[in-house]
Amino acid sequence: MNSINQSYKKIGILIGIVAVLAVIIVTFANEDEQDVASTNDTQPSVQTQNSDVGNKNSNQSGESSSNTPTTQTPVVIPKQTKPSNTKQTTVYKNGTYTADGSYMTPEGNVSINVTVTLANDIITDANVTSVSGDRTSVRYQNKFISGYKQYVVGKNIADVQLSKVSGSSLTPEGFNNALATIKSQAKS
Amino acid sequence: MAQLNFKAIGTSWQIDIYQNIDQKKEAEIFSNIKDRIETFESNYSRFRDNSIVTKISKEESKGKIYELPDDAEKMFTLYHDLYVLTDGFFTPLVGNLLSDAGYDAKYSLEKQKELTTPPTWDEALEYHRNKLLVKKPVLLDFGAAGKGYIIDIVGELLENNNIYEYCIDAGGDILYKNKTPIRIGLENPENTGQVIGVYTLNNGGFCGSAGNRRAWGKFNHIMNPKTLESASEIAAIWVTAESTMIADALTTCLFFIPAKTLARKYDFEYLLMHKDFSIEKSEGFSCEFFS
Repeated sequence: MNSINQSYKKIGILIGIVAVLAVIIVTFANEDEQDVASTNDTQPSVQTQNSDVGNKNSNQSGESSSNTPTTQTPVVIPKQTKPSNTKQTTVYKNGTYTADGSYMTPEGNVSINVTVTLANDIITDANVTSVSGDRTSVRYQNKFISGYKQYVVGKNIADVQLSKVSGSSLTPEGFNNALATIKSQAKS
Repeated sequence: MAQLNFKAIGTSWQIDIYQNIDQKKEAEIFSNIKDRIETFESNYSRFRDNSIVTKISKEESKGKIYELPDDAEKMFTLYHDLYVLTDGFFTPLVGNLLSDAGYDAKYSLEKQKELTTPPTWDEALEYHRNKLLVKKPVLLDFGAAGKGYIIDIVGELLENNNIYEYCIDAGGDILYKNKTPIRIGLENPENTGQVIGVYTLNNGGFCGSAGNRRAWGKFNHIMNPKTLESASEIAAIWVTAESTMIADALTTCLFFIPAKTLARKYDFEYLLMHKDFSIEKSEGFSCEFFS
């Protein structure tokens, strides 16, 4: 029963993230087409970016900012001059995009926030944070989040400010001697 | 302020007292602590010829009922609760398994005989309120939580002497009570001159477990009682909880059991490091990592 719930949650998280990424890609793929159509006037136009796919809200920001609230926000579309002659070299616009996704679990609806940075059509950074308050989901999200991204390295103790070190218990002399004996026997 | 360093239960201890204490009192307390640990070890260590644990492992114990010391109740209760919760993955009946694999009283550190699955709790024992019936002789091992327990007992001893600001460190398993937090480095099991992060502990128990030190051949002392193999995929685990006994027990459990199962019954935070240096942790394990 537990393992079924576990897989259910993991599938939920993965579906949520894939769907959110799909929304992001669809959103600014559309944006490319709209640019030409909406820039006939000389004033900057303010539009509410609103694309609803199921439960998701999405928001786009340009290259300079990256934070986003979870509710719909007016987005300023900058004034554009006549279409330039230079060919666009990337399929997707460089920038940082963020969206919220949510998925159902046996404990209810939970949400995550996904941010990706695109440069030259490559995701150069990705971040997933949990927004859910449900303890169980948060634990699973952390398992997923830290599993997919966080690796650690060792740092010399002399370079770290600390008072104690914790790991496997220091062994008694008898054990260390026995170990040394076995190792030397193995070599001979 | 005072500090005591000594060796006991197979590891190195350091006890720090952060309050002012007169020398006579200090000497008395330290003597009591050493005696208390010695009593505990002489009862529960499988490395002692006359311990209860060694007696229970012999043929002549079959069918006998042993009257255990008062401190057995808390430990046996926890072991039984975790035995049930983990479906037998956490069990004290692993003494023969460890011994046969080589981690015996003589430190043979070589496999002595073919390994067999430990008996179930009910096959071998019946425990009730400090009375233990031995249905089948078995070598018990309390290494998973025994150290945490005796650390808590020492903490109680200090508090009964009006010492409330102290740090008990037994080989990296820690009980800390103080007004300011303490920074604990998380030892890199592949290089003990390094740490992979630093945990800031305010108060409570903090334990670490890894297979790097007590390792021989293809074994280390963290043995899976169902596969009869030693933990290999998970390199190290750290747990913090209010009691050191619980933190200690859970570091072992987490090698075999998901945190979610244990969280049903216990309040704790944890960090788990795989052998590829990727980490998994609970949300509340607030720690500085190096990457």
